[in-house]
Amino acid sequence: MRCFPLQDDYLTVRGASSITKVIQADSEWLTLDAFQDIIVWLDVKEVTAGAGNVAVTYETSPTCDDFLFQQVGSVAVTSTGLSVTKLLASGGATNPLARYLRWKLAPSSAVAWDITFRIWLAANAPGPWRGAATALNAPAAGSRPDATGGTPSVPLHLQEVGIGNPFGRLPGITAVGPSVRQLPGGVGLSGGSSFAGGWDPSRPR
Amino acid sequence: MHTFVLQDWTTIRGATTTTVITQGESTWLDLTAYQDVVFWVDTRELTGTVTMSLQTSPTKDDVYFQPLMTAFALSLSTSSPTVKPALMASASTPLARYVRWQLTGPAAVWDATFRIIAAANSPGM
Repeated sequence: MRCFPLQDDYLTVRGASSITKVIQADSEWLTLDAFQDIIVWLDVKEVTAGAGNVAVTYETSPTCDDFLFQQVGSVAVTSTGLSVTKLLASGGATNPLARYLRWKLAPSSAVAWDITFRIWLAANAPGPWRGAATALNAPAAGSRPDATGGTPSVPLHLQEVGIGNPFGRLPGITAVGPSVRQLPGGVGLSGGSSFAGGWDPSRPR
Repeated sequence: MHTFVLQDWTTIRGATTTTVITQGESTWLDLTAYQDVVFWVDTRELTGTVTMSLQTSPTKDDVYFQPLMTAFALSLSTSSPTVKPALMASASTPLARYVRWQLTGPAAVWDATFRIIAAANSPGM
């Protein structure tokens, strides 16, 4: 899965009793054109909500119009810890993932409240990589796939053959076999034998 | 499916005071491009009851690592390996980015010799 933050770094949001909801700023919304499934990892380090809870809701919309944003998932936070929410297109979701994704906070009761949290996503995009197509959609600044950097692990058949790997390719052979598709601008199989080539994780898509 | 070595042959030994051992960070798998993964655990020597947890996380923060499936007791692969699938549609916590193993032993001397192969799937790739 491709992983990136919906809420990078920890954030504390505090509201008075009169504040019934706080919505993520639009500059931080994620543009998820290329994806169909997401798994949301919510890490809460502190929460104050009286006897109630703070609902962390994930909302999606095909446009930036506030009216169109609909809930795709929600977690009622009463204590610290990690909450993993699976939102799959094939899972019968009432509102499957559209283009934009944002978070919304709402206390369950009219008390002073606060929450310290961050959110990461693991997103899934079956099929050939569509980097060139999605680049035309000018992703939001917050869309930073694999923001932690690093390179993906290399499958055995794309490593050079050796004592520990009889299934690898021969040294000097740069073309991958017929079982591996060449993906223009792809996630990593383009550019011959280099699994990591053709994709710069530091660039927004 | 594409094949990865999550852990080549190794022997892990613990004492009464060492009950949890986690795979070193440098050998975790980065399965960014995949949605499903099937683990093939081959255990050739075992002393004590040793439980294995296969974990995933979107980052390298320890707090984020969650089990891909219920932890299971290692058993000797006398006739076949232990095969553990973690498919996106059915896993309680589907594959994120990083994958690692963690062993939990009893409060006694324990050890296990094993290797883990991961077969990962990315539909359409």
